[in-house]
Amino acid sequence: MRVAGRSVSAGSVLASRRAVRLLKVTGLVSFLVVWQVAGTASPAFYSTPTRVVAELQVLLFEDDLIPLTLETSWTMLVGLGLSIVIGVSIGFALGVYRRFSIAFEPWLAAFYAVPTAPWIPLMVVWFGIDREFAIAVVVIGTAVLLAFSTAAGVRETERQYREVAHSLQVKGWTMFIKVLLPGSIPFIGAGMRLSIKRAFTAVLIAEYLVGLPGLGLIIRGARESLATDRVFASAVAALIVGVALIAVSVAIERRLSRWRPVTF
Amino acid sequence: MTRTTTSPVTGIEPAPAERRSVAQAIRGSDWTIRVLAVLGLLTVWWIASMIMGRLLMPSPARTVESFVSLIENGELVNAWLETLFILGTGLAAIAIVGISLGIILGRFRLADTFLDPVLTGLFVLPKLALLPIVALWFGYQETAKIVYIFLFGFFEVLFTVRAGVRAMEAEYVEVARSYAVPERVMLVSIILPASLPFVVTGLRLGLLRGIEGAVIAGFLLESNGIGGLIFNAGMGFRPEILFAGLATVAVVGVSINVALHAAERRVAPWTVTERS
Repeated sequence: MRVAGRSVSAGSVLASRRAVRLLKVTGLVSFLVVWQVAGTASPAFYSTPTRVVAELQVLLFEDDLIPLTLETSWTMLVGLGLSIVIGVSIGFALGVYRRFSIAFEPWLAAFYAVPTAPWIPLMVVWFGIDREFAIAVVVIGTAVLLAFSTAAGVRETERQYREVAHSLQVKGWTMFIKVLLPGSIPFIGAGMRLSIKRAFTAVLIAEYLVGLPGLGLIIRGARESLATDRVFASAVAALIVGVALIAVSVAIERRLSRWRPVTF
Repeated sequence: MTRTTTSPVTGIEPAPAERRSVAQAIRGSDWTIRVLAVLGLLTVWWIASMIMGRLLMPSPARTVESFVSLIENGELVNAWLETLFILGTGLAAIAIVGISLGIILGRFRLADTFLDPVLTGLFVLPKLALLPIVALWFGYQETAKIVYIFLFGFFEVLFTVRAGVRAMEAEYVEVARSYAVPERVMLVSIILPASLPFVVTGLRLGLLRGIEGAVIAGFLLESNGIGGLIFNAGMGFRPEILFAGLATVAVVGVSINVALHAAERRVAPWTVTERS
């Protein structure tokens, strides 16, 4: 490897990577130290990392953090499952049938431009205040996104393989199963990654608004009590769950595009 | 850029090229299809309203009626004026802080690496979890809402601009440096103009997120603006008001998307995948 005209050994690349990691750790530690100092001066305003850790233990052992998080995840999972069925079907219709896309694509694009949150009250009116409405909110928030990523995948695959498929006389159902579906799976994977993030936010807001048991209810409790430690501990808990979900979604995306030799 | 996922409207591959005469014939019938689709959707909506009843699903006529009366009594306009005020203020703050910090972090690797864990953490954190903190520090009125909108849109602008500045570092800045262009000239005549397309893209994403923040703030902080209107319509089981409110959110969202896409196309025609 050559950088700035000098050849750089593998050892020094490793060293610079280590330096980057060290700098990041320093950044995080300094943030925590500043937080601790500010919080010691004014605990009612900033809390402190040590108090947040103590409060997290309370959340974990007394206030059912884990069962509530599972509750939230289950809602997401059911909603995303439905969303995949609906979104992928619409996506294929958009990608394969030109007339369907002419007729409905503008409306779906308009739908996509509306954020998820304003739909929540309507879903409550339609589905009541049980878990069904939260599932519906997930579908509203993610189905169109998945439809568009699927459609993009179908169109890209069509463009790449149309001529090969044509000369091999692959068409109809075979075309769908053997070419279009596998071809669009990496795109669906990319859509899933974004969908998981949106679904998480959507479920949290839904739970918060209605008081449905879940992580959103913990955040609502923190908001209502305005107990500083609880406020920050619930944010840290949400961060941890969020990071875990990102790890899961990156793994899903990677798994779904594994067969493809080149990524684009 | 992964436009296929961030923006469905322009991420679409152009339709396969057809022979001109055929293409023209189809283009003529495209409008027939579109008009039929609208009529079909209206019919489905109307039938659904008959089946579900007016308490759950207002008919198209009733929705229009309620929309007109919301305009006439000024409720809708006032709600949007309130929302646009906090959205505008929030966006101005997002633009100023996001763009300047994006340029700084894009240029100075050391500062960027140092701040990266905290910024990434805040970006990843579901914004709802920040609501209690915002309420704790800023209360529940305009200031709190503006801060909340800022948190929603800020990171989109920051990360888009930072990525843009980083990418141009390799392309332009090294050339400029080898011609010994002074740092101040570099900023004004290279970095700022070259990062403009990223700024516009970032602002579009940030603004769309900002609308969501404004609606959530209207739900959960002081209940006013368009978020408050929608929230109260839900509480009072008034689906026709919900429909009217949602429609205006859609119109605002689509307008922002279209206007800023046009701006992107103007300032950087080469970055936008054009639809044929």
